[in-house]
Amino acid sequence: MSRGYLILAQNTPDDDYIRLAYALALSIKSSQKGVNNVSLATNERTVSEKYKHAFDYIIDIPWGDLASKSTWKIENKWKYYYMSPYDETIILDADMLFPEDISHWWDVLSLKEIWITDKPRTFRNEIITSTKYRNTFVSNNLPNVYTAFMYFRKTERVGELFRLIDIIFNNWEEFFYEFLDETRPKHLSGDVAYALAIKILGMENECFDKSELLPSFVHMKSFLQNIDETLLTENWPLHFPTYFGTDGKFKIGNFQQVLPFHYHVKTWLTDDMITTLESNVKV
Amino acid sequence: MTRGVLMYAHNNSEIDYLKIACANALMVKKNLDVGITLVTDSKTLQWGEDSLSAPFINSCFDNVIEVDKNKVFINNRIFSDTSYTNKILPFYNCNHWQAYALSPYDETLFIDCDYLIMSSALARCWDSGNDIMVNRTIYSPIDDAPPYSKLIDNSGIPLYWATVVYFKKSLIAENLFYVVRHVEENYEYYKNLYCFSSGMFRNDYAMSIAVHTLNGYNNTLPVIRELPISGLLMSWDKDDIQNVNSINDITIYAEKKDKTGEYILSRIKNTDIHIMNKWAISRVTGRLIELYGDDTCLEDI
Repeated sequence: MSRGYLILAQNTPDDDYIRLAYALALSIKSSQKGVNNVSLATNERTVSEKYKHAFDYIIDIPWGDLASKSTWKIENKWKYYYMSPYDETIILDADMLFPEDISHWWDVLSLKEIWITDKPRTFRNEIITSTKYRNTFVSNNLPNVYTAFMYFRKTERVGELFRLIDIIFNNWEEFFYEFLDETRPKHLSGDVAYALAIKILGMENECFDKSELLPSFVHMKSFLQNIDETLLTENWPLHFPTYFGTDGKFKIGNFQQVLPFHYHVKTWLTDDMITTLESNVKV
Repeated sequence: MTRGVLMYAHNNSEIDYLKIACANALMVKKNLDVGITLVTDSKTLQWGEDSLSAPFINSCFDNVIEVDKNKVFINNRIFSDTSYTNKILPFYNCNHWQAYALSPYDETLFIDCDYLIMSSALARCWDSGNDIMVNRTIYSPIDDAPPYSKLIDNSGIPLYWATVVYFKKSLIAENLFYVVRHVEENYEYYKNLYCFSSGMFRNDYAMSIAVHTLNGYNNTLPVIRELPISGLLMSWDKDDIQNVNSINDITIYAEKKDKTGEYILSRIKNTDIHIMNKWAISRVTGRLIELYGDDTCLEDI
């Protein structure tokens, strides 16, 4: 059974997501003692040579790029199941880093066919309690899906779920109108589409667990940090300083980060950090 | 295994910490029945011997350890006596890191002298298997709200209260106090690093930083546990003591939250309590000594 991480990355006019995926792949290669296979799914036919060494496979997005006219680039997220070259896959958002080894998670995650994060954490390692960006989830009693870190195995049942996710992604306006109240998003939302599919199929117990430990990740959106919102802006690096060590481990606000870290603010990742990560990967 | 309580008392020009410590030592004897060691300085001790008598002090404590004060250390603090009066006075607290080395016990309960021992709850610490225990959980006498904790800054680390620290002579406890010393000696640096605004040196902050450091700079699997109590009961300096009713039974005026000058009468029985209003506690130390002291020791005053 092959295991690996899959990152879907498509550049936008504002952000070089391939660069972010490259940094994530480097951090996985340097921190994971067990599974450290990383594949990149992208429409970028010319991924820079300097990035290629960090990926085991570079996969062209199948069935064309459905996000070619979009700025948010999430229209291809239903294809994970079909793009992954692995029997067991962890899906990651590109704007993440791995500060610590989580290899031991794989054997735990494989106890289920699919396991999605529903309890992300703050940089202080508290479970996020804010529902600021989750009105639709609360109002429609949807499972609290965060696809930024999601495990699945290729099985018949999981394939069935992804078939429905395909249908919802490609008919999202009808589904959102039919199944969600007026809090429904006005654009396609990957997390909402996944949550809706899970709810329609009644797979909540199959996709989540009571465990508060894993799967999880640190979600750095400022207003999710269980801190008085009036003291913050969306640009969290202005408020919480980073100490990035030569070993690729780092502290935020002097809290050591141990979970996969979803930094969200793209400018946080500096070229110096990438240079540090490169020096830690033996190519 | 030897067990005991350690307290510090360094008087300033107005607050007789030694007398408070004597009263609390008698309360410790009544409720915990263990040895008590006092750490103090020569001037405080001289004042105590003149005002209370040396035999009385010796009857309160099993050991009295005199330490030299660091004359360079200046730490002024606002001491409030309810919301209506306050005074800025020196607060000498820079030597608490010495507690580890000074304690003559294998297991020590290191308590502030204003943490009044009115129960045997802390006896659960003995032989608990933990090398250090210190609380972040506190609760208030004014409402039924569940115990809670604070942060040293809005986005900062958890605030641990150095008011009560249990430690066993062990490497990790030695390291903890070593870090407390390091923070005290580099306080400006840590103040900037952890973004706390207080200019005054606080052992609570130094202890919080030490605990955070020894817990690996995160909250994942804390190696330093809390005390086996539901939290530290806090009477703030806006409160006052209404009466000492009898043994392990006091009534306080607890100021309502955000309502200056409005109080709730709160009766505290068989529960340890941290009295922040030093004037309030000073007003009742005589009564506490009278209640908790036996005839022999009272004859010495």
